[in-house]
Amino acid sequence: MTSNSNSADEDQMNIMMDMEGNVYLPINKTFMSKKARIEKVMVKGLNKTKDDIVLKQFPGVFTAENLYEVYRKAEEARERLLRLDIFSATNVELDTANDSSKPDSYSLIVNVKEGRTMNGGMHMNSDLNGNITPDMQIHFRNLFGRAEKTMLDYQFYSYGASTSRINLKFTKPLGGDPDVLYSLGVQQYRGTQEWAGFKQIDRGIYSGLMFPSAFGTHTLQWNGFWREANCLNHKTSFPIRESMGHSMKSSISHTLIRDRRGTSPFPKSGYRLKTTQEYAGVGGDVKFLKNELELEMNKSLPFGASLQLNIGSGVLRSLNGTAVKVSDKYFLGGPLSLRGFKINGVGPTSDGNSLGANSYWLGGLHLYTPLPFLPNLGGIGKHIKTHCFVNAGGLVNVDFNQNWEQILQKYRESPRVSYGAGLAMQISLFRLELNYCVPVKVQPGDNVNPGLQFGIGIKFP
Amino acid sequence: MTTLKEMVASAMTVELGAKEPWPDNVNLYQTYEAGQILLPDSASCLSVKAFLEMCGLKYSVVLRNNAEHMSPSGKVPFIQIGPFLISEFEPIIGFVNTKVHGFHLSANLDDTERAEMRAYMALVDNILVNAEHYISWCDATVLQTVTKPRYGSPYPWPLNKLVPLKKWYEETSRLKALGWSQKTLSEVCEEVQTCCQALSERLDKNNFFFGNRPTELDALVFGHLFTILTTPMPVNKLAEIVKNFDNLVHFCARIEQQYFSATEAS
Amino acid sequence: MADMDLEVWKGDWDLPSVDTNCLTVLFIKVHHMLYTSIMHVCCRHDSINIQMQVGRNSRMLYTCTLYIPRGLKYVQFIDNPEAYCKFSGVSIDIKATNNPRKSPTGCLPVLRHNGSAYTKVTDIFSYLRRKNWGIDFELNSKQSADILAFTSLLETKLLPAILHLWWGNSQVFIDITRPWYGSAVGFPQSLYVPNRMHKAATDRVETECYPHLEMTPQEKENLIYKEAQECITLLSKRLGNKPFFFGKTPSSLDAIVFGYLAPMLKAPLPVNPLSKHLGTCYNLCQLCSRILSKYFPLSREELEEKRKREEAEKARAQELGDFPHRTRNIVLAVLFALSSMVAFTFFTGMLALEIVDADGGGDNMSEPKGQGKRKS
Repeated sequence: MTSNSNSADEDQMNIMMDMEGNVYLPINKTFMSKKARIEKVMVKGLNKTKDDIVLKQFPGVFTAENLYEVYRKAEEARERLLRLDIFSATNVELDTANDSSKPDSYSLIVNVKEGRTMNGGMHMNSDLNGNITPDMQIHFRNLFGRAEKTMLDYQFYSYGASTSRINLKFTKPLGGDPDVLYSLGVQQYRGTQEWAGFKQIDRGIYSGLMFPSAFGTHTLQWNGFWREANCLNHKTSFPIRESMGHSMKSSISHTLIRDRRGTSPFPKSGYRLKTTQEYAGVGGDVKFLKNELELEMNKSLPFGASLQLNIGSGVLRSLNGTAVKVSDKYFLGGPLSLRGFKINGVGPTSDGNSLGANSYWLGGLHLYTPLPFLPNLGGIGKHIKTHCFVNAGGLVNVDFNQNWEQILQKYRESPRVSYGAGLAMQISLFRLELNYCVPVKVQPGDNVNPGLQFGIGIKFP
Repeated sequence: MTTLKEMVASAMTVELGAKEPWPDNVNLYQTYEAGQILLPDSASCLSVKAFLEMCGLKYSVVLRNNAEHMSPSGKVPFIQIGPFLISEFEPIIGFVNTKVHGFHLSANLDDTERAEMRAYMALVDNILVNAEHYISWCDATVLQTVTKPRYGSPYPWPLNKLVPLKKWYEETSRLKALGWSQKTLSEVCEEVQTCCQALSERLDKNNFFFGNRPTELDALVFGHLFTILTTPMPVNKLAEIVKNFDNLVHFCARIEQQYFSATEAS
Repeated sequence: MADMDLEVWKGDWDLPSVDTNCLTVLFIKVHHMLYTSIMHVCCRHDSINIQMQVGRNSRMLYTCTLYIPRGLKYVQFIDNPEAYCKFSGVSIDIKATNNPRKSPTGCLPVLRHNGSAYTKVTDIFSYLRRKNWGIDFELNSKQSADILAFTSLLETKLLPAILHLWWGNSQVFIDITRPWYGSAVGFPQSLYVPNRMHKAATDRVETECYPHLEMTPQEKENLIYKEAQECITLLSKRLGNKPFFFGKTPSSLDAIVFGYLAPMLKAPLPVNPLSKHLGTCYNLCQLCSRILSKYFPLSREELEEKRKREEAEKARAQELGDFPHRTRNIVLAVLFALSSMVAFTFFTGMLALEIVDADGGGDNMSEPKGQGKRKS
């Protein structure tokens, strides 16, 4: 707690700071007119962190001309320091300069406490077959003093488990800016796509840059992955078999995310837009161009209810004339995408295996209401809602040699629609849903799952 | 047993039961002959082709660079017949013998001869096949100059180096479990010599191994010996050993002339 | 000629050795000794000189002298190969060392002579043949070729099943194989030698199965045993009614078949998928018992030991019969004791359950049970 009691001014300047160091400034004319300047910045508590990165969090702090600006710059600096994710606590104080010849000068004292360099955890992952595998994560923060982070994520592989993963990722804020992140990683991921009858091992490296702009957050990433796809068992259908083998995907992707939603697990206002473009062909033998779009819009309704509209669509176009491999195709269906269908069970199918397609579209309209009788339910009421929904979607193999009308005709011919109601729960990244679904429009070959459907997945809140 | 022999001998007999006629659109999948396939796989494919030719069954060859991964057992060749996929020599002949009527090459052998035929087929499997794998994957010269470039040829960099490396590891583990990777080249040549000696003794001066009609053993031996004789390799020891046995060399030439040059001409 | 050393695994269950390859080589050695023919006998007043040819085709002649005590009228020679072995100037010394560590490949049997060591059965055969030991001297080249072919057949079709039976089947491995080999090598080798052999055997079985990529382990197992049954049928057909595979005299093929089948027939395996099929191939079973009784008869001490073992087994079975469910009763008693202790602690309130909401300061989801916590 601090107050400017050394000021010679008679006005009371009640600057309030709470337990966490948030500053509440009463804005009044006196404050704005009072001349003040920051003469000196002192940072205490630095151990490993390099000076230059700390100093870069105080842009323009010396340009402040009045007291209000001084406090505002100090507060901004504090926030930026926290966003670097190096310090476990930061505290900003203002003190008058010792030099009495400059009565308007202040020195900024920043007390920081560096956080632990290494932390991590282990938890158990359970897949839908009941196999339990341990998952271990270790984070190293502030490795070389400039807010670099290294994360190691290792999920053990055991026979029968459907996924395993090892991921080593290095992140660094560029130019000291916590919003501009450079990342470099290497990953091996083993997954089983039971719906399509194959299993795949991805090994590769990726490198990307994330930066903000007026449109939102951009991510520019290069991926180089060696994929090895093998049939799951002797029931795998022939069209899937033709896609098996080794392939190399070297691609550049750009993603833009603009998230203007309210902050709660089930936002009641705002929208989120995500668009991705991926060009594969910078080396490797897989050449395609992919475009994806996702939009979520929320509107609040009376009595604590809210309405949500989800739209998604993606198109993949192969560039050198060869058939698209099943590893790159789109799949649809499941409790978090097109409800009422088995996971990735929307056709076209062959011998029970979903073949995927080179484009998809998906729409959903959800009405969320708080739980009817126990709105709070011990504090986790905001995480569970009842919802009723209408979902529509389709998988279409677009033939790029046809003209627009023919292509649109294909889209019109193959919609799938379902509706239903149930419970939805969102806890941080995980979403659980228990729904009763009624598919009303299906196409031949779809793997339908009417009635009660339970699903767990990752959905960004 | 005699009634079965009579029924099978006549190709025009319609058999009741699970047997079906050979369809027209049978495909045999393998990897590319010119630039990709390796010695053991080439020998295997040729054995199957010889068998089908001897039976007079029609098939078309489809070349895919991922034929190994498409196959149900991970090995080429495999045939697609109707809804079935069968890979490798023994399962294919088993399938043809049981599911397709009229084609049982060794139907007129008695029990002792059939046991001998299976034994000689096991001999080829145990010695020639393992020797082919050895020379492709355990001999440093052949590995660097022939095997690795060929196996990695369909893939872009860096897969053309990584994929053969992975396969090399799998193959040498397999050969180690069988006790072959520890042998020296001269030991392998000795074994091949013994094997060819045994085959040569069995063939003697006859046209085929059993009687005057070809059997599965003839197809298998032809496939492997012909491939060894005609595949150019930097280390030619195996071919030199086979060349020492005149009757085997003539046998290969005869089969090739009888069953393969006719199809080439057409 | 210096002595040759043959290191083998020891025997059990009426067999001279438990291991397949050891049995095969022992048979060769023993059979060779049976073909020691007496060339010339010269009797003197106090001794008998016997000149023998050891081995069928060898040129080795040995002379041995028997000194007769005064007054003895008759001397009877007993048909015992071990006896001949001791008289002749050359011998193969059989050592049941049970120690695979000293072997160059880590496996037994090992034949050592003049500083060189051979472990593979075919290597041992060819070495012995070079020294004019062994059998197969009467076979023509076509029959030798047949032997090579059938050996390959056994290696590719029967060996995986046998390896799987002894090392891959968990019941047999835990009940019979691991304890037997563990006690044979002794501590501390019993900690890693059986496991090493287990890994080598399972690796070998894995590589053999060709449609292997997409098969479940159960399907692989079924395939292995099916092939083994076919192989046994083929062998049975080839043997037919003859006493041995190539007529009246045994060959190396008989030795190899004996090596594969005898352990399976004699060992008390808890489960054997091949036993039924083997039972129908009567001629093969007879071949094995004939070889055992003729070439490896049990000596008087071994017969005595066997009788004692059988009596001990019967006594133990008797005791189990009186308390057939001993283990079950013990487990039930322990469970009952534990549950009554737990129930007692709850009833007297030494422990209590209290369900508290995860949020801590929020609402309590239920009332605490019991009379609250009380330190005992």
